[in-house]
Amino acid sequence: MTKKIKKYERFVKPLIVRMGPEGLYPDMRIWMESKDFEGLPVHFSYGFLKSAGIICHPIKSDEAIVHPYDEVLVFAGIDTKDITRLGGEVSIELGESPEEYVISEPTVVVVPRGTPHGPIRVRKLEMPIMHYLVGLSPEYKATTIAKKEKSTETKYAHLVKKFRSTPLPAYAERPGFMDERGVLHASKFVGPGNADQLIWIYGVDLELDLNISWGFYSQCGVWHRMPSGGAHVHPVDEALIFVGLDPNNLYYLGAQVEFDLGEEAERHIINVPTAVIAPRGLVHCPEITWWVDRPYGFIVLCLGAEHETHWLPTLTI
Amino acid sequence: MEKKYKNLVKPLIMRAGPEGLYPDMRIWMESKDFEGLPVHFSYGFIKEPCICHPTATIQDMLVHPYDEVLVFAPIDASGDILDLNAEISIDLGEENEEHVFYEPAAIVIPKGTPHGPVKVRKLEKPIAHYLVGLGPEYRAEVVPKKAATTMGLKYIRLIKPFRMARLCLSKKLAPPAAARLSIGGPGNADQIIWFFGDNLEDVKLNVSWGFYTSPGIWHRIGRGGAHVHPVDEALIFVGLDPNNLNYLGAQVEFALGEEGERHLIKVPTAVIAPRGLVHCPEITLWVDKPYGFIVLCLDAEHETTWLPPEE
Repeated sequence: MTKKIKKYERFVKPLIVRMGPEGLYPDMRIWMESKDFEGLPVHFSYGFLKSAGIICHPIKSDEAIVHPYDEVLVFAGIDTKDITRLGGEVSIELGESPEEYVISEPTVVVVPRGTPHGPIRVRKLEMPIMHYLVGLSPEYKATTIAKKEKSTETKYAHLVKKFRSTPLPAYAERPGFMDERGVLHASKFVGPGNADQLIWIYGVDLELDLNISWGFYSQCGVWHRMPSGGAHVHPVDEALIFVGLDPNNLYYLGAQVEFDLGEEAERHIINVPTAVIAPRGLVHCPEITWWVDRPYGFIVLCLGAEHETHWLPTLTI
Repeated sequence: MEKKYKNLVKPLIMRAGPEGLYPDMRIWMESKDFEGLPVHFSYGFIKEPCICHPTATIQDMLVHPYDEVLVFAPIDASGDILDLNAEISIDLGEENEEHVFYEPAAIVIPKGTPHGPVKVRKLEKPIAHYLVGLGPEYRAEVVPKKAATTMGLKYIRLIKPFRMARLCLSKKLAPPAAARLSIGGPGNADQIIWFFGDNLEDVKLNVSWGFYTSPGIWHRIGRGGAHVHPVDEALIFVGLDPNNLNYLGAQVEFALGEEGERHLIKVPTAVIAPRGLVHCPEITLWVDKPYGFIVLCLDAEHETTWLPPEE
C-alpha cells in the first residue's frame, strides 16, 4: 500500500535528538536548525539538566562563547504541580569580564548578539531542570573567547529575566486567567485540552521580536473553545513544539494530539516530540488532545514581539 | 462546502408523539427521520409519577405488530447507573400480569404482546425513558384488558435489569480491569450498560445507555477508532437536563466515511451509520454537563471491524 502524502506533512517535524555543536552541552539533546524547521530562520534545542555540577554552554569553564545573533536561554522546572518551581539553582556568566548571575526560579536569559556568555553551572538540583534555547539565526554559530577576571558589576542584570507571563490587557477581562505569579490557567478559560499552567513572555519583556512560552498539559479535548475550533493565522512565522517531560527519554511525549493544518483542516497526529511549523498566513488548528498518559510540555516559538492572531469565524471542516 | 454524509447526521426532533401514548413532549424519530433505518425511537424524561404507554385509561393495553424495547434509566451521572430511585410497574400479557421494578431496566415487548400501561408510582428524581420499536413507524392496537391484575411470573423474563446486561460498567459494579474494553479512550463512557440480543429475548438488537463526562477520543485503537459494522445502527447523543430536551451539554466531533468527513454534534442528534459505512473517530471537544449516549444497533451482536492505523 502506498503511503498517502499529506499536503502539509512537511510542516510536521518530529524532533531530532543529537549531540549538537561540539563542546556546548555534555548530553544528547533535541537540536533543530533552520533546515529541520522548513526554513524558519531560527535554531532550537531542548533537554534536561539532570545533575548538580554540570557545566555547559560551553562545557569548558575557562571559556565564554559569542554568537553573531541574539539568543534566548530558558530555564524552567518540570514539577507539573507548580510551574514556578525551578527545582534547583543554576548560574550563568555574562560579559567579557564575567558577571555571575544565580537563578533559582524559572528564568529567561536574553543574550544579545556579540555578548560573551557562559558557562552555565548547575549548582544545586532537587529535580531535573528543563533548559531550552532559541537562537535567532538559521544555524548555530559561535566563537570562543578566553575570559577575563570576574566582575562584580551588574551591567548585564537586565538580561536575566524572571520567566513569567507578560500581562496583556486582554487578560484583565478574564479574572483568574493569570494569577499573581504570572501563570496562565488556559485549560479553565480557553479550552479543556489547553495548558493547566502556562507562562508566555512577549517581546516587550524579552526586548526582541520573539514571544515564547512554556506550559504543562495534562487534559484531553479541544485547545481553543470557539466557533472556529481555534483555527487561526498569524502575520509572522512560528513553531509549535510538543515535548515530553521524561528527563530519561527525550523521544517520549506521553500523549496523542490532533493538529490540523490549512483551510481544509488537514489532520495530523502528534504522538512523539514534534514541532509543527506554521508559516505566516497558514491556517492552523484546531488542536485536540485525544489522550494523555503523562503530562507533557508545549512551547510556542513565535517570531514576532507580539502574538497577533486572526481567528477564523467558523470551523471549515 | 456541502458535506457528503450530512444526511446521516440527524438533530433529534421533539414532538408530542402518538396520541395517548405519553403525557409530555418527547423526542420522537421514525424511520423517515432516520434515513430509512427500519426502527422508531423515542426519548424523554419522566419527572413525576404518571401513567403512560398508554395514558388513556388503565383498562386498555397496547399491542404492536413489531418487537419493542422500553428502557427506564437514571440521569444523574454523579450517581450510579444502576440506581433508579423509583417504583414503576408495567402490565404484561393477556393475563394482565403486573410487574413492579425498582431498578433501571429494559423491558422487552415481543410483537403481539399486550402491554401497558406503565405506572410510575414513586420517583425521587427525574429519570430517562426511551423506547425502540423494531418497525419503521409506530403502530398500535388498543385492546381492552381481558383480566383483572394478576401476580403471575410468565412474563417476568421480559424485565431485564441493567445489572444483568452483558456489558455493565457502573460505579458499584465494575468489571475487573482485565475484563474491561481495553480500547476505551478518555472521551468514552464513565458508566455504561449494553444489552445484546441474547439479553433481549433474541431480538435482533443491541442497545446501550451510558453517562459521558470527559473530553478526548472515544476509541484508542487503529485509525482513531474508525470502524464498520455489517449491520445498520444509530448512534444517539442525548442530554440529561429533564427541563430541556434540546440541550446536549457537550461538543463532539464525529467522522463519517473512509475520508473521515467530520461533523460536529452540539445538540441532541442521531448519527446514522448504515452497514459498511466507516464511522468514527469520535472525539469529545468539551463537556459542560454530562450527557447520555445510546447505541441502537440492529443485530443481536455488535460485530466490528476496526480500520488499521494509517501508514
